[in-house]
Amino acid sequence: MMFLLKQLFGFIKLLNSETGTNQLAAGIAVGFILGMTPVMSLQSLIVFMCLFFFRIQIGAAFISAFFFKFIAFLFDGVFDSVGQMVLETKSLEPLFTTLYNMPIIPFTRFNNSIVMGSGIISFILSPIVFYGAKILVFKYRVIVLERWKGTKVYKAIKATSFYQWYYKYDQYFG
Amino acid sequence: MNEEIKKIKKKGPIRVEAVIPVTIIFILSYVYFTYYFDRHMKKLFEYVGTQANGAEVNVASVKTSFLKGSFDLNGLQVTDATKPTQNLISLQNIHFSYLWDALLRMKFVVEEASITSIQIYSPRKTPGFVLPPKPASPSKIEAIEAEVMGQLKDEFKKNVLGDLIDIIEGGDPKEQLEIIREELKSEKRVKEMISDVEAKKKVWDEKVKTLSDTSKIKEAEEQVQKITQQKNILEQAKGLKDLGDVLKDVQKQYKDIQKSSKELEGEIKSVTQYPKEIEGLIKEDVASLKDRFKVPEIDFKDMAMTLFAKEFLGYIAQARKYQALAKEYIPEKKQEEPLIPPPRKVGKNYEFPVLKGYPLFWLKKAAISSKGTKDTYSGEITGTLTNVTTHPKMIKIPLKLAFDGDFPGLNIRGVHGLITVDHTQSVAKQSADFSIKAFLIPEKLFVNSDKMKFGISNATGSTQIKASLTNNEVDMSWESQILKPSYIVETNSKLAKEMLTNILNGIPTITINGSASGAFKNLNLNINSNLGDELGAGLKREVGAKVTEAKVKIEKMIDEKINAPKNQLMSQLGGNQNLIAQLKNVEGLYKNNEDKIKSEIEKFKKNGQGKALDGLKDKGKKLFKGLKL
Repeated sequence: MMFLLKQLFGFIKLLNSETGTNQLAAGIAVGFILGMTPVMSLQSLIVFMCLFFFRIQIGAAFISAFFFKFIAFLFDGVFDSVGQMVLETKSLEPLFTTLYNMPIIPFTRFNNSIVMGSGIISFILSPIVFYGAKILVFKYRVIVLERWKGTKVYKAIKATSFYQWYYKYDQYFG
Repeated sequence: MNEEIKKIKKKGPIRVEAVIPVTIIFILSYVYFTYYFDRHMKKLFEYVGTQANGAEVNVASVKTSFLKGSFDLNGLQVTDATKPTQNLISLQNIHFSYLWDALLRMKFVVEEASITSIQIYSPRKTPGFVLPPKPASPSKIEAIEAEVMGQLKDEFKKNVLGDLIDIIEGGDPKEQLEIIREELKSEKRVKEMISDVEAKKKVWDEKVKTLSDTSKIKEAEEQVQKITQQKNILEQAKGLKDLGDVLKDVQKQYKDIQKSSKELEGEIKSVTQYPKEIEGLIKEDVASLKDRFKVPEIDFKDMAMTLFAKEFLGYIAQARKYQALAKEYIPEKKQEEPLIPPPRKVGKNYEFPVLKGYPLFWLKKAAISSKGTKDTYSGEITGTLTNVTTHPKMIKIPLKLAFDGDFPGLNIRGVHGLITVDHTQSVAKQSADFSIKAFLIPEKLFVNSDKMKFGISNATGSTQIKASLTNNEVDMSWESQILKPSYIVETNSKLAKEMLTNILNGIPTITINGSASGAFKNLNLNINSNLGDELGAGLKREVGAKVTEAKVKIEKMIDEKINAPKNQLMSQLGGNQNLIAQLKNVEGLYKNNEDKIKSEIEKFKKNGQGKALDGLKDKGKKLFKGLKL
């Protein structure tokens, strides 16, 4: 729980900073993939592992995955259709047969229409989500954050000793 | 200072700081799986085993190797809950070696497995603890067993030998004759007849004596003589009138005698039917006595069923139990799953041809060996279990369990078993072939009741059981031989004991052939045994001989009892014939007398004495008219 909270605070802090735009966008894109995948599968696990080995904002990934998980079911019909279309493609059948008979690969559950459909769509759309997220973060910082920094409330908070103490603390231990 | 901090915070795309915690996690995992995992597995097996067994289960060690894909369980001891000082079963080693290629496909293929040194009822170093008993509830297995045993028909539960004892006891002529001695109808009737004839004879003796009195005849003769010698006409007329009166008396007496004679003849005629009646009653008595010794029709084929049905059904119940267990753990008919569109969010699973695949679980070969120990029931058994799988249709090889060996502690030699479970085709087939070349039978009671104990002891047996199951239709056969049995016959009836011993001495070898076919719920049972046949034939012979003996004795006894009174009756009936003769004599005398009187009267009439008398009568009448009185 502490880990999750720390990641969430990290996300808010990074969002409100001037750096880490790529990390945030990558986190949202990875969260998109995790959220769209219906069940735990090998590829989900690999994507999840990437969160720890690459500098991707984990908080952003969690929030993104949480959000997309809620709306993913709306696209299940599309995923199913796409998955069926791919899996029933005659020319790909030898490939799928080979994959089906390979070790480890069957753990991806690629032979399921929704897994296949959601996987293809989420992987294809993930770069778009990445760049879209990047634009959104940039826009947020320019439009929302700058305006917020200009408000009296923000200035008042910044002037408090508590904020000063937190700023110093964050510089050394953050 | 702030610039330095900012410089430190500049990081690349790879999260280097995560390497250390991940490394630590890997090291900790390695340490755990190397040093602690096996111990925890051991504890887990012991706990789960103890809870399942209800008594302490010990495991010496568990060794697992991730890289080799192997599993070893050493020193398994399962405490006997009923006797905690001994183990129910103990194993030296269980070894499993999984195929990595299959594990990477999330399938469990055991290339080689072995279970070595199986010991049954081996002593424990320290007694194992026993868990408090749980409240009993009928298990599913017990219900399955009850279903088969429920077919032990009431007729086969009967104590047929006990019933035969009743028959044999009922057939003892000596005792029976004592019981029926006072019950003979013929004897009773003869006595009645004798008393009847005696009573009648007394009456008739008196009557005949009275009727035989000839004084009246003499009197009539004297009177006739007197009248015929009379000279005086008046006296003659008077004498003629008297003669008429005498004639009337004689005629009346004659009629009485004639009537009595007829009555006596009638009674004698009815009494002469007595011998016939007695003959009939004697026949009835003999028949009723013979009925007492009648041997009821017993189907001696059923006797074999009665003796062995329970045991045979016990084998079938065992087979049914194992078949039910096999059905639960080895799927029988797993049809190809149809491609039914699943509900939303589940998607559709596509099946592709399996080129190099494994079933979810496949035990290719397991070697089994057990060592026999003295004073235990352990055997020297070696065997193999092959092709145990969750998908038999995929591997297309049937499961086989084969074992051979001996149980020296139990004097059982030449145990052979082959169990085949073929679920590779659409119709499942299961078969079992089990045989024992020689086993010792210290004591086996076929009948154990208050009336009698019947069984064998100190015999050597051999048995073979073959069973096959297709589409829930069982076909089972059972062949057994029991050599040189010592028969146990314990009963209070000396006669039954003697009979059974005589019969059984002629049966040096018992053969039992049984078969069962059909559904488990409705089995068609058939058991044949020479014990049943020979026992049946012998009992028929022995009981038949006793009955013949009884018949002869009955007839003799009836003759003895009836002959004396019958002869007495016949002599009395002969006496009655004398009475008739006597009466006939008297009747003849009276008849003669009557004729004599009649002729005298006729003489009178012819000689004119009659006319004179008539003239005198007329004159007398005229005088009376003249007087006009």
